Amino acid sequence: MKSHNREKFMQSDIALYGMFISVGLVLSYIESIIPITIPIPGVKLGLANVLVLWVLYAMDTKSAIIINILRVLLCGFLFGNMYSIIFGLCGAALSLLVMIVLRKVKIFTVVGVSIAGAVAHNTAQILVAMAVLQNARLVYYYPALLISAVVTGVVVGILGAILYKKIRILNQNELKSKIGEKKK
Amino acid sequence: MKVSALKKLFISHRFDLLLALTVIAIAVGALFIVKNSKKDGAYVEVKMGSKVVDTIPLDRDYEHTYESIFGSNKLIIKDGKAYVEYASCKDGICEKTGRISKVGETIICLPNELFIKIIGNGEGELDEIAQ
Repeated sequence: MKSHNREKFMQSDIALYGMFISVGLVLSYIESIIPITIPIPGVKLGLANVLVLWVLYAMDTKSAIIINILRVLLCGFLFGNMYSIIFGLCGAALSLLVMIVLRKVKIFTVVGVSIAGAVAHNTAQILVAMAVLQNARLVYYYPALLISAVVTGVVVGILGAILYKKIRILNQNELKSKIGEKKK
Repeated sequence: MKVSALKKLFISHRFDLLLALTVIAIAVGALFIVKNSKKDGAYVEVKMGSKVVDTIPLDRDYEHTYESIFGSNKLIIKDGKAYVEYASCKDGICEKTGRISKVGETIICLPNELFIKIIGNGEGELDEIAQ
């Protein structure tokens, strides 16, 4: 961050980050109250990834990293325990990395990036689970987790794509011209 | 009109589709491998009557004779496999069962009420943590 931008960063970005983190928390909470009937531990929808995708596309990489890491930490402290923080952070880190890279590659759409993110998330989590529990047999869950990652990735990706089309952040000039249009 | 819109959708998402299909192919392949390989056990659980008397790791060599009012059985763990070498009863089914090492396999000596079972490790723990 360049120094002459600092004040701007303080004013607008912190407010935005706070807002998005709280949206992420709400999404995580909604997800936690939806009962899942699939008898495989670790399978979840990943609704909060809708937000991360949107931030990644509509804002920038840096914002996506900050918002996601903070969201995972807060969510872990609020709803989870030590383990869910470690699991969440590792999953978030790898999936963010993959999504950022694939976004730059440009041949994938939001849906593809979402699928890759979900797959990376599950891969990271199974690796951490194997390390924490010292049990290589957990790898037997991996096929099921891969398939669930594709399914949830598609759902989340479509949601993300719709949001990205509908909502975007206007910069100062766009904002002024919009207000001008309305006044006319 | 509708068809061309679908076509457009397909073309713009062709790499996504490729990615999804690749992942599913890997998953199905992995599933196939998993189905073909039984899980190796981690512990040997020894039950006498309805009581668990011993839980022994499978990866260490071990030898013990279990005695009860009914008779005795000699359990041996060697090279990650468990078997009963000697039984005091006359039918000796437990001796004939042979070596076990996969989760869920059992050696049962009914006359002596001895149940030997291979169990995995950490599954209960996993369910708790991964919720």
